[in-house]
This record gives sequence, C-alpha cells and structure tokens, in this order.
Amino acid sequence: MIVTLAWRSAEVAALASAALLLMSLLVRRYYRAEARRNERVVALWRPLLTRVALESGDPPTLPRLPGSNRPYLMEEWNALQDAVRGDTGERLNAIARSLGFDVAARRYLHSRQVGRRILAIRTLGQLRDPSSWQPLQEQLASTNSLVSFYAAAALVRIDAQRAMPGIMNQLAERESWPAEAMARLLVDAGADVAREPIRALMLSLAPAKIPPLLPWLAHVDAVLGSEVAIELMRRHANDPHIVSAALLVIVDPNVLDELARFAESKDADVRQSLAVAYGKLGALRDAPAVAHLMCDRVWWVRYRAGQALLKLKGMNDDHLEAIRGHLGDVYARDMLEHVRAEAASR
Amino acid sequence: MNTFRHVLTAVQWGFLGYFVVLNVFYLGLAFIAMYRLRHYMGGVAAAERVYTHLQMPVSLVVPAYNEEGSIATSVRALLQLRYQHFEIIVVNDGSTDDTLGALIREFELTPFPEAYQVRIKTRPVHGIYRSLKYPNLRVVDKENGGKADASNAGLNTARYPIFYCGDADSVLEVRSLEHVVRPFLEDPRTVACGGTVRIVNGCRVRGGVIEQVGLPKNPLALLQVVEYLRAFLGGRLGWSAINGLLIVSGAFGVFHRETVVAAGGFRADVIGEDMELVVRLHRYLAAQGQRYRVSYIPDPVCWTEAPEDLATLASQRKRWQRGLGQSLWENRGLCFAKGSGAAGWLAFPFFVLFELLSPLIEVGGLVVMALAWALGGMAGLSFLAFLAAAFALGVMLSTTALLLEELSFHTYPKARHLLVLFLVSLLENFGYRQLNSWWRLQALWGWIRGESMPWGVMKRNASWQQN
Repeated sequence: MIVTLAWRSAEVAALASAALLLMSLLVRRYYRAEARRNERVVALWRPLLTRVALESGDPPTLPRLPGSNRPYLMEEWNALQDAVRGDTGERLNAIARSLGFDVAARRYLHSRQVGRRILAIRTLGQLRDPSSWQPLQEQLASTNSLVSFYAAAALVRIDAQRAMPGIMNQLAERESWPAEAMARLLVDAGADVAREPIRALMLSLAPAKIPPLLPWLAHVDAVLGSEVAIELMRRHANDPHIVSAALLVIVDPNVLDELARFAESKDADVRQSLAVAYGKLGALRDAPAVAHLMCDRVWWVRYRAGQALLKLKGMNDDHLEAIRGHLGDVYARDMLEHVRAEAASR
Repeated sequence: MNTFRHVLTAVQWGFLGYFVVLNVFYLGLAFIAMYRLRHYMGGVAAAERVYTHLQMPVSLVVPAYNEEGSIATSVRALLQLRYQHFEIIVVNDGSTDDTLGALIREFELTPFPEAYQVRIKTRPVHGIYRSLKYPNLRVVDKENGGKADASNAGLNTARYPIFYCGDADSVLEVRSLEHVVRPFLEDPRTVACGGTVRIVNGCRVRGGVIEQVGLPKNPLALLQVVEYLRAFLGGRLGWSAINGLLIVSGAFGVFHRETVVAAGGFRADVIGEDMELVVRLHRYLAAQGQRYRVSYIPDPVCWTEAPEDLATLASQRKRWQRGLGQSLWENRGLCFAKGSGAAGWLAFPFFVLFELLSPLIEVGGLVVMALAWALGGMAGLSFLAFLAAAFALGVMLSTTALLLEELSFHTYPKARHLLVLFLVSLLENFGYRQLNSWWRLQALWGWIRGESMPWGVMKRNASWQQN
C-alpha cells in the first residue's frame, strides 16, 4: 500500500509540475499579449487625447473602443488628467463620458483586482461625478489602505467639504494611510476646507492616537499644527509621546519660555525634541539652555542640541568659541566639534 | 525477519509522511505567496504613485574587509541609487590590504571629529572619515571584528531611523530603496524588511547597474538560480504574509534602527548573524508584548554572486546550516512562546523539523532505503517509487516558484530561460540536492559536536562586471 501511495504521489506531483509549467508559459504569453495591446492602444489614442486636451472646439471623431481595450485607455487618460488643469480636464472628461468610462468604472469598482479597483476610483474622482459618491464612500472603508486612500482622494476631488467627515473618521481609525500623501492631497484641495474638521478631530482624539497625526497636521497647515500642538501639549503635559511630537511641530517662538521646563523631562525623546525646537525657534538668548542640553547623558539629545546651537538666530563663530570655552563637559565639547565639522562639510 | 519488515514499513511510512508533509506545507506557503503576489502586483503601480515622493531617510551600512580592488566600484554604485535621503557608512573592518586608502583616494575622505556613540559595544574604532565629494558618505575605520561587529559599528554611526545592511559586493537595483521602505511607510509596526535576492552570474553589469539579465553558463550557478527562486518567491513571501518570516537575507535587509539597538544589535559570536538577528527580533518583541511586522517585498532588489565551484558552495552551505542551528538554538525561547504568533508557533517548529533536521532525514532516508534494498528487505521497484515521489514533489515545488516568477516580475526575458530553469529543476534531483543535504548534515554534525568553523573565503569571479 505504501509503495502504491508513493507512486501515486509521484504521479500527481509530476502531472502538477507539467501543469504548472504550462501555466507559467501561458502566463508569460498573456502578459506579453497584454503589453502589446497596451502599446497599440497608447499609440492610437495618445495623439487623439492630446489633441482634445490642447484644442478647444469640436472633439475629433473617435475610433471604436473595444471593451477589452478600455482599461488601458483609462490608464492613459488618467495619466493625462493628472498632468492638466482647468478646461482641459473638462474636455477630457467629456471624451471619457462619451467612451462610457463612468459606467465602466462603476462596474470595475466591484473587481477583485486591486489595480482595476483603484483605476476605477481614480477615474470616478477625475470625472467628479456626484452620482459615484455612495460607491466611493464604500471604498473609503476598504481594508486595503491604498484603495481607501485613493477613494479619499476621489471624494475630495468631487466635494472636499462633504468628504471631510468621512475622511476624518478614517484618519482617526487608520494607521496605515500614507500621512504625508494625505496631507498633500488636502493642501491641494484647499487647506481651508480641512482646517476646522482637523482641529476638531485632533482635539477629540484619544491620547494614543495623537502623536502620529501631529506631524501630518503640520504638513497640512504649519500654523494650525502649531496651535493645536500647543493646546495638546498643555492638556497632556505629562504624556511624553504627545509632548515630544508637539515640540517638533510648534512654530511659535513666543512659547519657548514655556517649553524650557521640558529640559528636565525624564524622557530622552522629549529632551531631544526640545533641542530641535530650540534650533527652529531659538535665538542667542537661548544659548545657555541649549548648552545645558548639550551636556545630556543621551547622545542624540547632545547631537540635536549641538545642531540647534548652530542654528540659533544671531549665532556666529565668536559666540560658538565663547560657548565652547564655557562648556565644562567633555562630551559636550566633542559634540560641538562634531556638529561644527558636519556643518562645514555641507 | 517479520520484525525487520515491520520496522522497515514504519520507517518507510515515516519518510513518506515527512516528505509529503514538508512539500504540502511548502506548497501551502507557495499558494499564500501566490495570493499575496496577486494583490501586490495589482496595486504596485498605484502604490508607486502614492509612495514615490514619500521617502524615509535610510542609512546604508556597508561592512568591508580586504576589498581594495572592488570597494570604490561598490560605493559608486550605491551613490547612484535613485533615492532622495540616504547616507552611506562604509565600515573598514581592519582590512589588511589598502581598502581604506582606496576609499580615501577615490572619495577624497578627510578625518572627521565624530562624537562616536557606543550604543552597541564593538572592537575599537580608529577614526571616522567624511567625503569632501559626497556629503552623505562616511567611512568608519576600526579594528577587525567580523561582519557583525562592523555592522554594529555602522549602526552606532547611523543617523537615520532605518538602515540597510548588506554585502559590499552585492549589486542593488537602482530603485531598491524606494521599494523596500514602502512596508515601513505602510505599516509603522514594521521592524525589518527583506526583498528578493537574485543570482547575478550570467547577467551583464556596468558601473554597478544591471544592464542585461541572463542565466549563468556555469551549471552550479544555474542550479542556484532555481534554489533562490524557490526560497525567496515561494518560502519567504509566504512566511511574511503570516508574519512568520525568520530570515531576511544578509545580502539585503532593511531594519528599524532603534529596535535593533534595543535588541542588542548583530551578534558577533554566531555565524548567521542576519538570521540570528531576525529570530531574536521576533523573540524580543514577542517578549515585550509589542505588535510588530517582519515584512518581505517580492520586488527583485539585489543581485548576488553565486559560488561556481564545489568547495566554495560547500563552505557556504555549511555556514548557512550552522547559522540556522545557532539562530534557532540561541533563540529557542521563541518556540511556542506566548504572543509569538506564527513565528513562534509555526515557523520556528517548522524550521527545526523541516530545515534544520531535513538533511538528517533526507540522507538517512536514502541510506536506509538503499540498505533495505541491498539487503533484500525492499523490492527495487519500491525503492524507485520512494525516489520518484521525493524527486517529483521537489520538481513540483520548483515549478511553483517558476510560476510565481512569471506572475510577478518575469525577470528572465526569454521563454527559453523558463524552459532551461524547468530542466534545471529536474536535474537538481540527480546529485545536487543530495550533495547539499550531505554538506548540511556534516555542518549539523559539526555544530552538535561543537567543532569550530572557519569563515572560509568566498571566491568571487565577477565575470559579470563590465568596466
């Protein structure tokens, strides 16, 4: 029996291997054919789309578009849409509607292929079609962070104001959205639209969710980020994660005196962030405080303090020499040498 | 005689069961990989649009020992990487040739008064240099302590939150950093990420950049192409999908600096320091109750030279086996540890049973079957049936890897390449696999007996390099 089983295993495995090889060859052939088809679509349609984009007036007569070629053209059309603004985009939208992109994209939203779904979402966003709102809202809640990110972008394009509550909900829940890209998207949509919803969101978040979102907020609007950071820092003065993140986004030099107390924080990240804040906002009068941080026991605090010292407004070589003379700590002096050499080599 | 037959039957069942379970498991991993790949490839263009401009700064740590002839080319190739924010830290690990001199001349290095931070203890550092030509290039000159020690010195010097650690003689894809930081951007819990390493033999490389992909003419190197495809696309992608990846290749790995420092850095007293670090990260983070991910991207990110002679290959495989044993033994606390997830409950026992002990079973199985056949306890046809099962299952796994390759990046441009690789997956069963198992068994035996193992010299041919 065992020998029969061994033979059967060998036979099954051999057959499976032959089938897998055949599949590999077919997959290769399929991708080749797909690449060729894409090239043909681009060669035929790119000049036409460019003409539509560049010339106002009646659109040219369009060739027939087989359904199987539509995704390739949609990709090309999206790429062109990303590159243009204003009326040109509207002309391209008219062409897309006449080619049935809106209907096809809504169908593609249910595709099992992530790439196809994202293509559909991008297309519906470019078309700014309000009737796509509901299906895009559903995609916003997708477990795939890329799909949900693109859905957010599409919703912002259609109606930024209306999109904000849904996006804010997602922001509070998700950790996997590319925050900087999201910030760029909101800035493009007009930061004014996002200001109040973001402020409300940030001030209502659970403490654990605040630190990763603070730098993101500063990307959207540096002043708003700073205001919210100051408020959050005051509210959560004993939470080193929040204080550390807040110190990095504060841009108001008037609060520097208030920040000085964090030099005695037990958390090295807080002291390091404080050093960075001094470098960004400080002036010569803050040199003693920064020099104090240069004597810290943690290398990174000394390093950031050294960099901050060089950046203080009004700092020059004479001042640095004077400060060096007063530095009693050998590690602090070494660090000053280090950061000065580093700055000189840039 | 009856007892002998019963024992033999039991042994046969044991071996067949082992092979079937092993291959079914690998096949399962390959299917997980296929599923993951389908999603990954579907979103790869969309992800690139989002992530291209988002780049975390990366420190590239490059340990170098006696690489006077090649170090300048390697560093120049790294400087060409398409990435905005990165620094290169070459660590001259007490080379006895003029590696440091070559670097000083080529990159106009000047001594730099670095306030060197000893976060991980290493052999003494003699000095640190900075390039006047390239502000993002520094060189650490230190006493010889081995690759792990040199990597730790680089880690002490690194400024950026994530660092790459690899071999000076590997060829990186120009966009490799863009790809490999993506898991760190997508999931802040990511602590390590590896990518697909390919064999550079047979390719054409100019100025550290792959110009043309091809298959090696050397049969040994060709056999390793299939092995690498199987290991990377099938195994590692599958393991990473369930957060059970225990190996990030020493040729290309990117790590979260602070996590590695907290875990103690690379261990200089083990042979496979790259694998040991990853297993230790799992153990350390599971013990801390921290949520984390060890990721893997299927993109080809790095090309490495495969040994082309038996002696070098034997030495490499023995080192790998010994490293595997050490990594698992030193971190045995991970096995079935609370909170260790797939890494501790699935990957660790799997690696012990089907990777560490596999040479024992494979060689033992062959010997027992051959003996039984020779002593008349087993018919010739039965012996053949077991061999056929073992071979066919192996070929099936290799062919699955070929399919994964076609589903992903179809790196090898010609259909002929695919057919050659299939042929190789058949031929590897006739001697190559057995030889590998024999070397690994020797290493296992040596490790159990506590024999010391010399590093050996990896003979490089570099015929693929065009100047």
